[in-house]
Amino acid sequence: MSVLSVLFFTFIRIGLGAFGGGLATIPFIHHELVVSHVWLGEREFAEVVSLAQMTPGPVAINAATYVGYRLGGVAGSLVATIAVVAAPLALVAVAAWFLSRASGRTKAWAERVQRALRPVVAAMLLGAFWMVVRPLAKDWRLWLFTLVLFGISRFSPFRKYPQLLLFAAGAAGMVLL
Amino acid sequence: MPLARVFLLFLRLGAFTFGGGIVMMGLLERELRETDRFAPGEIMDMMVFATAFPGPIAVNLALLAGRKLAGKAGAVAAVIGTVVPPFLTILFLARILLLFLNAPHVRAFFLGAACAVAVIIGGVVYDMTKISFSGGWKDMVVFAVVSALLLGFGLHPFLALGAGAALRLVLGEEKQV
Repeated sequence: MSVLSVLFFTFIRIGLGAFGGGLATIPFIHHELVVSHVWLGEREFAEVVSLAQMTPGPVAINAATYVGYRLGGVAGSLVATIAVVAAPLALVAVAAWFLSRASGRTKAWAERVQRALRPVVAAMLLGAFWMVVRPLAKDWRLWLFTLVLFGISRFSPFRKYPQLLLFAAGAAGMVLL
Repeated sequence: MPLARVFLLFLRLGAFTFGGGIVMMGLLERELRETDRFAPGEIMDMMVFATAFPGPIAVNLALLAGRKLAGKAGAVAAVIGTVVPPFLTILFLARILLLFLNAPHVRAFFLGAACAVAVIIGGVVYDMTKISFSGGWKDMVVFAVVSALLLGFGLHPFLALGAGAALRLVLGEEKQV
C-alpha cells in the first residue's frame, strides 16, 4: 500500500476511535501513532500534544495534519486530516438525517435515548473539565487568577466573545505568572 | 442565517481557539446561545449528539449547528470553517511553534489561557448539568455513576457512555417529562 492509503486508513480508524473528546482521546491516538505504527517517538508525540494545545482545533486533527505532513507532504496532510473527520461526520450526518425523518414509535424511542444520554454526556464533559483543571490545581495563584477570570467572564465583551477571555488571560499570564 | 455568516462564525471559532476541541465546543456553545436561534435544550441535544458519536466533538457539533442554521450547505460550510484554520496552522506554523514550545513567556501565556479555559468549560458543565438534571434524582444518580467510572476508575469513555445510557434507560422515565 502507498503511504497515502496507509495514512488514510489509519486516520479513519483514529477518527472512529477518538471518543469522549479532547484530552480523553490522547491515549488512543498515542497507541495508534507511537505503539502500533511507530510514526512518532514518545518525545515527539508529547511535542505534538503541546503543539495541539497551542494551536486551534481538536487534538486529533492537529495530530493528523502533523503526521500526514511528516510522512506524505502536503498531500499526506490533506489525506490524513480529511480521513480523521470523514467517518465520524458521515455517521453523525446519517443519524441526524434518520432522526429528522423518524416518526411514531421510532421517534419516541430515539428521543428517549437522547434524553437518557444527557446526564451521561454531562459527566463526560466533567471528565474533560477535570483534565484541564488538574494541572492547575497545585498552585494557589492559579486558583486566584481563575476566580478573577470567572468574575470578569460575566461581563461584555467577554460574554459575547469568549475568545477574548482566552487572549486576555494569556496576556495577563505573561505579566503575572 | 446567510451561508457566508455561518462560514465566518465557524472560521472565527476555528481560528481563535487554542486548547483543543473541547475548548472549541465550549466557545461554540457560548456563541450559539448568543445567536438566540436555539432553545437551551436544543444546544444541549446537539452537544449530546456530537459527544455520543466518535470523532472530534467540535467538528461533529459544527455539522449539526451549521445544519440548523442554514441547512445542508450550512453544515458543509460550518465543517470546512472549523477544520481549515487548524489545518493551515499546523501546516505552516508547526516548525516555528516547536522552537518556542519551552520559552518561559510562551509557557506563561498558555498557563494563563488554561485558567480561562477552565472558566469556559466549567460554565458549560454547569449549564449542562442544570439542564440534564430536569429528570430529577435519576439523572443525578447516572451523572454521579458515570463521573465515578470515568474519573475514579479510568474507564474508557465509550464503555462509560454505554453503561450510563443503559443505566438511565433501566431507571425509566419520570411521568411528567
